[in-house]
Amino acid sequence: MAEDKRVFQHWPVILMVLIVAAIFLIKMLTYQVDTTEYAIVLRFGEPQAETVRPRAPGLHFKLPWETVWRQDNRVQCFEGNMGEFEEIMTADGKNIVVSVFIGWKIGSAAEDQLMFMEKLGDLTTATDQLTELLRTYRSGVFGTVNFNTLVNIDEEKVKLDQVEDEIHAAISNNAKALYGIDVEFVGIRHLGFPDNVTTDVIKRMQAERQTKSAATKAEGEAKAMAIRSQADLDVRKQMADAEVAAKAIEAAAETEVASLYADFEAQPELAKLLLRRETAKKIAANEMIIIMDANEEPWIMFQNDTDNQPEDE
Amino acid sequence: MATTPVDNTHDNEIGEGAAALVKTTKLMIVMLRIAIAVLLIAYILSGFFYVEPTEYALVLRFGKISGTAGEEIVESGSWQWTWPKPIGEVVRIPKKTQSLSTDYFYFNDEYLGGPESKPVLSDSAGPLVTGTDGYLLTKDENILHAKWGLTYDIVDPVIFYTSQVDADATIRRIFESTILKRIARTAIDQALYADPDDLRKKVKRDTLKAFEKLNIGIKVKFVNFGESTPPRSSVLAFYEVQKSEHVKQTLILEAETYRNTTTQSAKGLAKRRQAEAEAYASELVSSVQAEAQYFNQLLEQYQKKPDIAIRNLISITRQHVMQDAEKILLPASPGEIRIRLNRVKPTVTDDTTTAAAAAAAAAGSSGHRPH
Repeated sequence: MAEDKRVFQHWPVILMVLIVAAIFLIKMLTYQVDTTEYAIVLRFGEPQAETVRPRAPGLHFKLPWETVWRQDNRVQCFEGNMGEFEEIMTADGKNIVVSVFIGWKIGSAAEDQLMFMEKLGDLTTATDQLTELLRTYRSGVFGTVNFNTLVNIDEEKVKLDQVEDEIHAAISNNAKALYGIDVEFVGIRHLGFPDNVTTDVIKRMQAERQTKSAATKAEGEAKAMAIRSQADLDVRKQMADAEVAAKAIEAAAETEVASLYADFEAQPELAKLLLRRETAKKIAANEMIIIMDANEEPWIMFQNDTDNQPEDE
Repeated sequence: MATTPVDNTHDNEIGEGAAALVKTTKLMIVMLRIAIAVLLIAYILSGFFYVEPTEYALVLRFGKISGTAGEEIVESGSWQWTWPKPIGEVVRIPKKTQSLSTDYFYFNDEYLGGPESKPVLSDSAGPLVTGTDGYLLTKDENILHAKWGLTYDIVDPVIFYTSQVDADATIRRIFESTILKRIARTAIDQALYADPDDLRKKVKRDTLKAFEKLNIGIKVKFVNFGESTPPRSSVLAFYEVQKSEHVKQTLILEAETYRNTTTQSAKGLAKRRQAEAEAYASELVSSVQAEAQYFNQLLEQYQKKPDIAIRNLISITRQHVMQDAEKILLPASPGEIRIRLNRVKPTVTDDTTTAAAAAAAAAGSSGHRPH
């Protein structure tokens, strides 16, 4: 009993030893597979038929002499380790500079993972090989298209999506067959001209703007002149129409008046006198100083009323 | 027999040493117990974690996301516990709206004094350096510098975490590629002046489509079309076009003002001309009717006694004319008479009428005036 008690008294030491032993054993006999990675078990550094299978995320057992190769199973995005920007000649002989990126990941099938491990092994080698594929097919596809399919006034003729698809298909086929890699997407990130060509493009842009500036001013002047001319024409037409209408009104009145004048034919002398009277009234209605012979009609009235008396009176 | 004294000092020293060792060992065992207990408690306690309201959290157990499908996300704004590493792990993903901006398509303004400085304006065109000066090619083969921004929400944290190694890099590149393809279908004037907001909307639509196809667990909320400019050395030329546009608009506006003014004036003149004609007609007819009536009234009297009728007529006329006479001057010479009639005070001239009259004159109207 005393001996048991003494052993029990040393439980912390025993516990520590047990914990260390447990950690050591767990480390030796198990491995974790993360949700974001693939794992392949290697026996003496070599994959075995029975160990090459997709491993679900979680805790798995292994033998002490087995090791685990693991790699991220998510999409990785890059433009290539070198030659991100590359000068390419299009099918119609124009030099362009492009940059293309790809999104890739290791295939989900066990064969893909094994192929990736055997052919590439690590991320650096993988990106090196993918860079080679990317450069090859980027140049290949851009070299077969005309520049006007990359930028074009007619939107329908722009085939950038198609170019991306072609590069994607070409890289994808090879990456899958050679390395077990799935290429998820391809995108064009830069499309431009060689540096020295940009100088000419900018000069051309300046010249275009100067031409456009002059054309804009001329267009403004022409439009303004057209508006003014049309306005003058409209005014003339409007005034002519008004004159026609006014004359019609006046002519109608004069026609009506002509029929009234027929009554005056009954006594022409009286009619003449009345006409003279009306004329005198109208003349006298204006502002004026009239100088007249005082001995003439009608002012003779101021000289001597008797002169105007009828002789027979 | 003499007894020799026994030296027990050494034994006593050994006994004391052993006792001290036992004592020390016991103390160490006690301390070890405490240490183990503390470590165990600390390990257990380190499994507690708080999920901020602004973040999603996923719990990994032996590397596998715990929880059944659709219920992997830990409730935000709460305390939780999970086994600490290496058994468990907490992955935190932001719930707040994320935003990124790209100046990949903008010129390098570092040597100009930073982003706050104004671009150097010069007529001399220098080359753009690939990899340093970013730009976009428009459909009319012009160069455009532009800054863009993207705002998005992470709507599916599980897909977001498990699909991309570097989600920010992927989102950035897909966004930039979408912009490039849209600008290749857009004219530079459209992007800079005509309808930049329409371009922004189109880029947003394209970006939404691209990320929907990619399925990386995000939803685009907003696309921002920031600063945009032609190459620095062509900016002055672009300003000139802008100035010409203003000149053009001014000329057109002035012409339209002239048109409106002259048309309105002409309308007024036309109406006045019509009114004058109507007044003339009315006056003429009325006058002649009155004359005819007067004639008929006089006719009977005239036929009976013509001289009396004439005298009456002259007398009435004299009265009528002289009633508005201001002055009658009778000079020494008996044969002459001067009469000032109807002196009129000056009146204010109507500008509109004058302008209309001028316009009508310019139009060459041969205005007919009543008799």
